Amino acid sequence: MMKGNKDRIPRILAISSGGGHWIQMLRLRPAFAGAKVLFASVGESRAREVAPAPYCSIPDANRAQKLKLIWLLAKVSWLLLRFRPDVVVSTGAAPGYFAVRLGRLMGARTLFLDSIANAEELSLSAHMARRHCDLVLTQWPHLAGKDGPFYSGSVL
Amino acid sequence: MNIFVTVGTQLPFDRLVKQVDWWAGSNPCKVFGQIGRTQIKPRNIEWSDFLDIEEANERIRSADLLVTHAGMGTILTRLETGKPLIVMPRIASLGEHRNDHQLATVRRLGHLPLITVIRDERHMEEALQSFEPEVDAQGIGAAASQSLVTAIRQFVQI
Repeated sequence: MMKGNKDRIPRILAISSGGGHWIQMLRLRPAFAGAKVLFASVGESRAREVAPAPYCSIPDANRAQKLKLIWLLAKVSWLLLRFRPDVVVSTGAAPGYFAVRLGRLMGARTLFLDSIANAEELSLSAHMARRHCDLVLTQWPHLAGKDGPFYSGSVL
Repeated sequence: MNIFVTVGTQLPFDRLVKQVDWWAGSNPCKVFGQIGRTQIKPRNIEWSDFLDIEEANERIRSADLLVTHAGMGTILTRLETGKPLIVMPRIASLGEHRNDHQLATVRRLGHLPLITVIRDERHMEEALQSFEPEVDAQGIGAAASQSLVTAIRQFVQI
């Protein structure tokens, strides 16, 4: 059911790096039911896991790989310009940080869910995303703070 | 018994592979290992560097026991299958990962049904030897907790 905004179906860019970040994104899919979702992660073969929803492959890069990061930034910018999401949802790490920063500049509302693997401290990308994100969630209650990050459950 | 070992594709994990291979040398089990960038090549088990998703899923289905590193994606997908797993964390000071979040993972999730955590390779033999399938153990569902799904749904305003 739609709330407000007339009959427009919300457009969600659901973006993460590969491996565990992506597996956690897959577990969020019931939250996207009824929306138009574009998934983006590392590796072409992941498309099969979300079909028939559209999927875009993005470069694999972490913060130690400067050139790859620039290529990733370009690809994420292009995705945002082409898809024009209302909402950006990310489960990390570098691609998620870029997407929430640029997405917000373009007027999207942005959510960053830190990985459940960060059980003892917030990840660097979640820390960095905090200033640029409408909502940052941790999956561990003891890492939540009064002004965020907030805890609303986990992927388990 | 049919055992399936996975260590991911990003980084080597010699300690785990070496120990399982050594154990398999004197125990009549069918063991297959996906060893990724691990340097040592096993002698007593079948192995492959990389498996596509379909083949990995098939090997998980036919396994009685799974042995893995403490990667979160691996743990989540294995728990969904309802198969028991022995989990051993990678350690950054041994060059097995960039940081020690896998230690945090096993500290926080080691209590879950189906998971047996071993601190290091010296406990692998005991864990394999004493393994017994849990009766009534069930896998996790395919979705995040209802409270998280609801929170995200409210945020995206569907």
